[in-house]
Amino acid sequence: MKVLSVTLQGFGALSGRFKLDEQLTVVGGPNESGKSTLHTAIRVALCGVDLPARGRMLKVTEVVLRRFRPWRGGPFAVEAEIELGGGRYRFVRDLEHPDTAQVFDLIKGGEVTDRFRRGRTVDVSVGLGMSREAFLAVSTVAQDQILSLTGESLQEDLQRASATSGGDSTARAAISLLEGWRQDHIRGDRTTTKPLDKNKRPRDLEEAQVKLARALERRRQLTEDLADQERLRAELGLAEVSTRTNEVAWKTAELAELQQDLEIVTAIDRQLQATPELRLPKDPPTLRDAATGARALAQQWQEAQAKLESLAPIGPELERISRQSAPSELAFLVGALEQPLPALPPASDLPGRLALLDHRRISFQRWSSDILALAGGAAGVFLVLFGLLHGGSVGIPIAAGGLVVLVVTVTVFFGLQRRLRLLLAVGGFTSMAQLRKASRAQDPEMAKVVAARETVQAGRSQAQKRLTELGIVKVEVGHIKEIAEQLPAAQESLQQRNSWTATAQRFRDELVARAKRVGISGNDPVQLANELSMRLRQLDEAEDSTRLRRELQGRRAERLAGRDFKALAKRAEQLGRELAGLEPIPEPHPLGVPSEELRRQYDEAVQRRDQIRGQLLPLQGRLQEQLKDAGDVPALEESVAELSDEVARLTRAEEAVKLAISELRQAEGQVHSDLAPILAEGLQGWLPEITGQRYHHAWVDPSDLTMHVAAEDSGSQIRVDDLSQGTREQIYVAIRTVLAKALSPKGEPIPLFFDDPSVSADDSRCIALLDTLRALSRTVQVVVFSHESRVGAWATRSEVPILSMTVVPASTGPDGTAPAEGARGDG
Amino acid sequence: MLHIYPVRLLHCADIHLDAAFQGLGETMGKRRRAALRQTFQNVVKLALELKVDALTIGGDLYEDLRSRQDAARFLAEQLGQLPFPVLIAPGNHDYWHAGSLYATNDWPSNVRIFSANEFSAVEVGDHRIFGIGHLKPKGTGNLLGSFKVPDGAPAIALFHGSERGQLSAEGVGKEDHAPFSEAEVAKAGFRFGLLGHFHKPRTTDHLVYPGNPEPLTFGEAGDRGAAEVDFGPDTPTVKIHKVNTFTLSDLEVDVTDCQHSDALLGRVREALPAGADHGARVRLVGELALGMQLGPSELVRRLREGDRCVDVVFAARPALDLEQLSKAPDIRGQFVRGLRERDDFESEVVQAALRAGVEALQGEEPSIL
Repeated sequence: MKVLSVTLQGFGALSGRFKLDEQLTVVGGPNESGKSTLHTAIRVALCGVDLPARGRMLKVTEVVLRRFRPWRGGPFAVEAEIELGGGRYRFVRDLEHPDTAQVFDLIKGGEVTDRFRRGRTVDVSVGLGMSREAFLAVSTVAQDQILSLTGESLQEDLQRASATSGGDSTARAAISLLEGWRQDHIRGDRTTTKPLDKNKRPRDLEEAQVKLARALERRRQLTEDLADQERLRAELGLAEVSTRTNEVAWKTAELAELQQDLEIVTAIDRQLQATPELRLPKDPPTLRDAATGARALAQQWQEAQAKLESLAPIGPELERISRQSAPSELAFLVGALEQPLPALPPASDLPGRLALLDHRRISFQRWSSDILALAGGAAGVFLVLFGLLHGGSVGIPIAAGGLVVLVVTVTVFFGLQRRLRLLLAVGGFTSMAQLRKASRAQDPEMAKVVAARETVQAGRSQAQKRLTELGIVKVEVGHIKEIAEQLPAAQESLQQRNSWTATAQRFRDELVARAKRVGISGNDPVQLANELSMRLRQLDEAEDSTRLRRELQGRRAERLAGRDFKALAKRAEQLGRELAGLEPIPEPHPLGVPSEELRRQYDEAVQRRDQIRGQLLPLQGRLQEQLKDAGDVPALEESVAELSDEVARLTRAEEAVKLAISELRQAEGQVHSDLAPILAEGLQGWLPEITGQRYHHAWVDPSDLTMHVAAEDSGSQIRVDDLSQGTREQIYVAIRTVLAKALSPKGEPIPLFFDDPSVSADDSRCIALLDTLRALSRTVQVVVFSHESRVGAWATRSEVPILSMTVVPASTGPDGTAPAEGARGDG
Repeated sequence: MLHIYPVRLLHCADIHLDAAFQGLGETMGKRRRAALRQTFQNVVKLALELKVDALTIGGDLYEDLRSRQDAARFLAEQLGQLPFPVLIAPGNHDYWHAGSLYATNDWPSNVRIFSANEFSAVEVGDHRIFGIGHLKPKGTGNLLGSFKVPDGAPAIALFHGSERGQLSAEGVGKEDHAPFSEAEVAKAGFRFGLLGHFHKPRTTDHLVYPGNPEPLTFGEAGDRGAAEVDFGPDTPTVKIHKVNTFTLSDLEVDVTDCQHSDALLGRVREALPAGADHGARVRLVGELALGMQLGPSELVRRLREGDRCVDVVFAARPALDLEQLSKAPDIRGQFVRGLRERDDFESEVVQAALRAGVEALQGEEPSIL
């Protein structure tokens, strides 16, 4: 591509047609002569102003249009005539209407504006297949790009050019920016080239992930706890139903059992009430022992009595004698009575009579009667006197007692005296005086006869005494013999009588003894037997009653089992009330299950219910805490969702940045690989000429576009950075020439506009650079803007066309601020 | 001929009290939940105004895991003031279980909750309303099954289920709970079906889905609310009453030419509907200038200032001449070419990578957050 001319109808201070050489044009003139205005005008003529696709104009565009409005008024328009791809085109722009540019094909004729249109802008870069920015970046070489040229900046410039055709940043810088941004905004992994600040808190993504993890954990915990709560509530509901059911079942069963117990106990109590509580005798075994067979004994006694009564009666005398004596004795007594008494010598019978006497018995009788008479008489007299003296209800009986004593004493005294006389009569004495007198006279013969007589008399006396003892009043031998004859029969009868009597007595004694053992007095065996029998019956009744009562009481106690009847009744009443307050259940009382078992089941249900409550209460507390911290469940879910979105957003952003970095690296590698040999080859083509044959070979490292050169005969590579400034400048402009073609998508060489390229160079460097540009202009159109006179001199010397810009008189620009600058094209 | 006295019912479903509104932020979520309650109050008020014979609720009245006793007390208070029966057939979101709000709270005497897994009837006027509830959150089969309405007064079905004919219209993600066909309603002997589950309203000769009265997500436009159903001798007539508190709408905003963040914000804000009870989902289209220091998140945050209910869908592309850029033999051109060659070039991540890479090459920080 070549710019043939630019026609300005009014652009700042400039107007007229400015024709450019197809190879090299020097635009010369002092400062403020309009070089920069022309540079801008060429750019505007080629590319137009920057316009958005729609809407308001960009601020920067507005500034440009305002600044370069024609100072002297008139049309504000530019035209450019170019050669591109073998064609010739004219770009016509009315800058009053920036989006109304037109392009005309100067060879074929006609308007071809659309071929160069991009949005609202008509731009020559479209025809080149480049972006506006890339075109401008490639075609324009700023002053500072050469001023501060080092190997590094040259390399960076190449990288920038390779990245965005020189318009913007380098790929490296872009990657670094993305990594830094990721570090700052997302906190990526440690592969970044940017050093990590360890003290820096983790940024968004990690924070969001941590928050999300916490929120998810809270939600998980909350969800689990809520689910647990629901489960426990459900279980509690079932447990409460079970508890109520079991309670009703248990209480119903217990009430039924209690009612049954109460009914039974009440019945027992009625029986107890009907059964008198009889008092048992002190010693029932003794009574039973005594009473058992009493009636038999009485009967036997009665039989014995009947036997006795059936025996023939015996006279009292005979009976007495039968008891006390025997027939042989009676015979002996009869013999004793019938033995004749020896006759006493007439004078000498006194000693015998005395001998017959028993003096001790006589003495005893005498003293006894005396003492009795004395003592009894005295006592009787005393009592009579005392009673009489005392008088009254006490005295009279005492006096009467005294008389009785006196009578008894007298009776006994005379009895004793009669016995004394009998004793004396044995010796033939009538009184004690005779006895005493006879005692004083004794005769041995007499004594012998007396002794014999005394023996007979003693015999008789004894017999009589015996007979007296036997109660035989009529002491006659005949009578006694009669008695003796009757005696054996009587004695047999008596023996039988005695035997039956003893038997009867034994029965009676037995009964009496038995009765006595149980505290019954009396002698009548029948009565005793009846009494005993009655008592035995009473005992039996008492025992029966007691046994029954005990049995009833046992059954009662067994039924009550240590419980109090009243307490049971109270409990039953309480259960009834409680059951009335409980919701009835369909089958409250499973058959055959005792209330204790139901109570146990109820207790288990209560335990289970309490256990669930025990689990539920702390859980609900924890839930309240959680909900207090996390808000309600939806809020927590929203928070989780928000954090999830945040994490997803950051993750997506990170993925995007990672992808961008990866693609940039890949693109960088690809472009560098493609560009490096082109640059090396292009540079090598120019190298001998622009370096005065010092260097012939060039290499460009595809990794970072560093350049090395080498002399023809030297194998050693020299980094461009190590070359002199002048050589570097030459190499730079050569490289820009190569780039101007390489970066053109269609391979169309892009014209280069240099802005004071040699301003800092000494004369030799300046000349060398300009020579290089002239050489390079054979392939690429070059326009050099310079205010240096030495450049003008070189151009004149080298016959290079010069566009001389002249200083225009100072004037006020359209915006009132711009300095006076202007020139007019020479056409 | 048997004379049928007219019965008027107000039927609603899918209130979803205490629903979580994900993606709108916590503050907006609270407002939206408050709006749900307001909407339910509107239903109750409407029922009183219409002097209906009963209020029927076809399930998903609340959300089981999210709702707490407070919701139950609110519902009990609202329903307790109605002088006529309230019949509730629990759905998959408010399924009946021993720990549910239905089971663990005392409800007014006029409220009947169908807590069994078989139909039971409540007489309303000359009609019988047969209800049945969900007892689990998933896997409930066809509730109509082989059920046959016993002889007697005209029968109306009340339950929560998916009519197969409409399931596809509900879109992907709508679960097939208690599926049935419309024909089965009549086949079972029901005169009409009062249903819940589908959020998109639908009325036919045999059933009505009133839809969720309060929109829950963007895209739920159209007339929805509570259905006034009049049962006379002829075909029941259905009239949908709007009771919603909040309105959600979808907008499209072209952001081309917005050269800076304020211009972008201004353009979107201009397009937003006025009023705090109007939410909008804004789809950004066109070309978004590079170097816009206002990423999607920041844009959403700024748009939500003042508790506005706004969601943003980024469909705008970077303002780049990709054709032109990809022709350039430089790294940027190669970068653009590399991305364009990807199969997922249109994906959000690749578009963001394109924007980030080009912006970085311009020396600007990516505006993709």
